[in-house]
Amino acid sequence: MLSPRSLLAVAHDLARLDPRRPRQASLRRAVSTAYYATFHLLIQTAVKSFIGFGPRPTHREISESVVRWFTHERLAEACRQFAGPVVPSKLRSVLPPLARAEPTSAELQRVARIFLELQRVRHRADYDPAVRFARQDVLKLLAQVDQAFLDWEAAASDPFRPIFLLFMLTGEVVIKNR
Amino acid sequence: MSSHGAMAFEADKVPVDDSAGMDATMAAIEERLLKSSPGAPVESLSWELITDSNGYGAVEIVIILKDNKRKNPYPLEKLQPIDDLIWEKFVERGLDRWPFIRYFLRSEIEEIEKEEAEEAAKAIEAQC
Repeated sequence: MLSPRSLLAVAHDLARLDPRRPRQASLRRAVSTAYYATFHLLIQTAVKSFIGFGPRPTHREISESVVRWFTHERLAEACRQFAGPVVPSKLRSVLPPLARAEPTSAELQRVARIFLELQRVRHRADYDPAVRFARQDVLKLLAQVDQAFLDWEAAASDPFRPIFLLFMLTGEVVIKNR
Repeated sequence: MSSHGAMAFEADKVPVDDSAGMDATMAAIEERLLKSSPGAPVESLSWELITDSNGYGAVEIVIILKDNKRKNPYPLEKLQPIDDLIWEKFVERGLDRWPFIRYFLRSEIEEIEKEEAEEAAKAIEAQC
């Protein structure tokens, strides 16, 4: 398994290369690597929750295979549902009464928001040659990702986090046509 | 970091014509940030309506910051209050666009312009 923390450390290193005049390539790779660090952090949590990382080689094989079931688009859909303090009404309507009234934690919201931000910036970093990156902007993004890693741990007790994890696989399809 | 309130993500992917609301909101944000920024000092601000990589309506806000004395980037603590102010205004006014906020130092903009000029000159040279 890839280590999300190692990826994030690499992103920091890349963003700080060439102190006087950062190369666009380094900044672009920093953004992209930070995105994948967060992507893998979320996916690995989901796989660990649903399947676990058991002792047998088969466990590992299954876990490594399931990791590939997650898509960027579905993760973005999940994040859209949880980026605000109140989950959208379509999702609320399929939740039990107590959960309908409860707000999501600020930590979970921040993770959802930074993931969406990162996804957009990463898309530009990887595919849009016209965009120019600046170290100020990239370092700010990385500081937010550092915070998101802490937030993700803190959100472990949020009752909505397992639903968020499920949503990462199913997307909005579970609440449509209900 | 503060919480940003509820954005309305249930609407259609791209909001109906919201240009008037956006203009007014951005004008209010600009006025506030140029007058007394809650974080790093803002030199100028520009914005553009965009569609994000998932097809949702969004707005890209580019903020140019005054260089600090050491010409180092500002830490997140100096930028987060600006982010929070922008989100607060968007939520307050019920705007259904995600604000993507980018920060540049004045010196970085100059550096980028220089790089672009150098690249353009190289391209012309290669053609000759």
